[in-house]
Amino acid sequence: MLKVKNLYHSYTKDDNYAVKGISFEIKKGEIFGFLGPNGAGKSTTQKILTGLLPLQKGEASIAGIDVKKPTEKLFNLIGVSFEHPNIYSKLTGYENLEFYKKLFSVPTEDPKVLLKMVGLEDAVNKKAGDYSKGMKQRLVFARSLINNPQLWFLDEPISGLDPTTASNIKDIIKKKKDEGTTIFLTTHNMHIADELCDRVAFINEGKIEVIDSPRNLKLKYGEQLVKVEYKENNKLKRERLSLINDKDRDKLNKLVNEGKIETIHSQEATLEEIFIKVTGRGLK
Amino acid sequence: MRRILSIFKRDILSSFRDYIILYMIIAPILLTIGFRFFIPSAQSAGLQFAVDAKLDTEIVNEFKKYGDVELYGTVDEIKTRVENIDDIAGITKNENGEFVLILQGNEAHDTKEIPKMIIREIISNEDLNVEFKVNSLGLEESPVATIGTISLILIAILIGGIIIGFNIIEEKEANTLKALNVTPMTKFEYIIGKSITGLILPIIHVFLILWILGITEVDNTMVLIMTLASSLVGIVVGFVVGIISSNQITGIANMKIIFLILSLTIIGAILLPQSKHFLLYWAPPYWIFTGFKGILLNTATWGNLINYIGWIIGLTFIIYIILRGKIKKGLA
Repeated sequence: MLKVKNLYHSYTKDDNYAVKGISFEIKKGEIFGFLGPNGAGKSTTQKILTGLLPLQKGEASIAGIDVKKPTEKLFNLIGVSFEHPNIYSKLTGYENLEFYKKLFSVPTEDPKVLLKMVGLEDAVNKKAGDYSKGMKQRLVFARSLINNPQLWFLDEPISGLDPTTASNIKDIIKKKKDEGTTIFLTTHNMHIADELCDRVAFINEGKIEVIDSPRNLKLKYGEQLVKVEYKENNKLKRERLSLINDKDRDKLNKLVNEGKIETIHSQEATLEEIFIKVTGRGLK
Repeated sequence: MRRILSIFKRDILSSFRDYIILYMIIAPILLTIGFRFFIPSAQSAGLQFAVDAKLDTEIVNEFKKYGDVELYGTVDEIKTRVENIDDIAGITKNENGEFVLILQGNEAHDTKEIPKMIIREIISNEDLNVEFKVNSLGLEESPVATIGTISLILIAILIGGIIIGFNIIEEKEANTLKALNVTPMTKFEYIIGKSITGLILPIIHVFLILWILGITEVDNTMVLIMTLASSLVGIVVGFVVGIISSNQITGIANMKIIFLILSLTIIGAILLPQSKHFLLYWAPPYWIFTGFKGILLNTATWGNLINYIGWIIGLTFIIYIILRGKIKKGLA
């Protein structure tokens, strides 16, 4: 669905590149997470792929359409949910979607259905300028679905949302994936990436450091440990035991056999820990 | 086309919900109504008579020779009509069969004196020695009225463009241009969609201004074509204001500067002798001023009009070419 090869971009149009020769592919129906800290090149890459920045060097195509020469067909295929709500504050939520809907030349969704889907059914006729930040965020999210995109760009889709709304948004993303939508998720929230993404790319200082599934990354970079709490001589003890080290495995077996264990948790590394390990810096 | 109309409809809807823009939309009308009180009726030179319908047809026809006649069934209706803001003389007869002239008291000289002369002519059945030009509409006699009317028209034309500018500022402030740029909408559709406001509003404004001022004896086709051509200047000004202004406050400041520059052209056209007018040929507002002056005074021929419009379109095109890069960059 999306092919990027040797992509470069310089804002100063010299050798000072914000994106330095990145390459990746996304298969149809896949959720691809683009993880990196602020200034890593995530937004620049997304802007190039959505036509907001010109493609200076390298190749990129969406469903076979060259991003360098974006056509009406390309824009009909994509949907973009921006991180910062960019809506018409003097129009109602419904009017915002109704206006946006008319800009596309493919079958579109009913604005009221989309507003209901993101929980804005009671604010359909309320001016978008009077929406709370979270409501504006949901309106932008709903707007990005108006043309039933085949490739859906999501930039920090749950940023600033309360846990219930965030959960609803994640469910919508999962449902869209099940329906065959390809999703390009830009975020520095490793929890949502871990939960939703089939594969993630770690981008740092304009370069992709690693691309793999969250599970493979954890297996590759994480340590196989378990954290146990057990009672010994009426005292509660806590220990981290390796599943590879023979001595630790024997101890774990002994604790299990003696029935002393009160709690046990696997201790695989988080994506953030792996990111730090790979890039030497955090995601914030 | 659907996208172009959507952009236009959105702009109109949004403009009517923004108090600053709404005020700008009605400002030319309010200014015209205010101006209407300060100038003698533009139609007064064309003379109007509110005549009692019960008078003989011959008498009515006599008045028709010198102006527009409106017939009223009762004296009260005539009085009500005379009390309106424009200059009109009421004519009826009392029970003794004597002519009665009904006036408000603040009418122009001709409105008071000419009906008396007509009545005298009817009574004495003598030839009336009245020289009167209907086609001047009173504007020739009142440069204030001419310049005032053209200035109102120019304001209306520029306001149409400024509203485009303020809608662009709104898009910039809310970052909605970004959302539009990831849709199939092209820059061309966006520019045309925005420009419709700058074409339609001036047409409505200009005809309303002429109607409020009672200027009806003009070639409406000429007015329409001149307004459409002049609107191109307003549209380019609007896009420039929209692109160079980061918010409404800077937009208002930039609008004032542009209005000042344009006003200087008009002042030049008024104060400079005709032989020095070539110094103003570079400025499209000069041609708008000259064109509308000719139309309002009924002195412009179609040849003149084509010449003026040619200058307006040509100069506006040159300005657009110079600013094209900045406009496109500003909309990216």
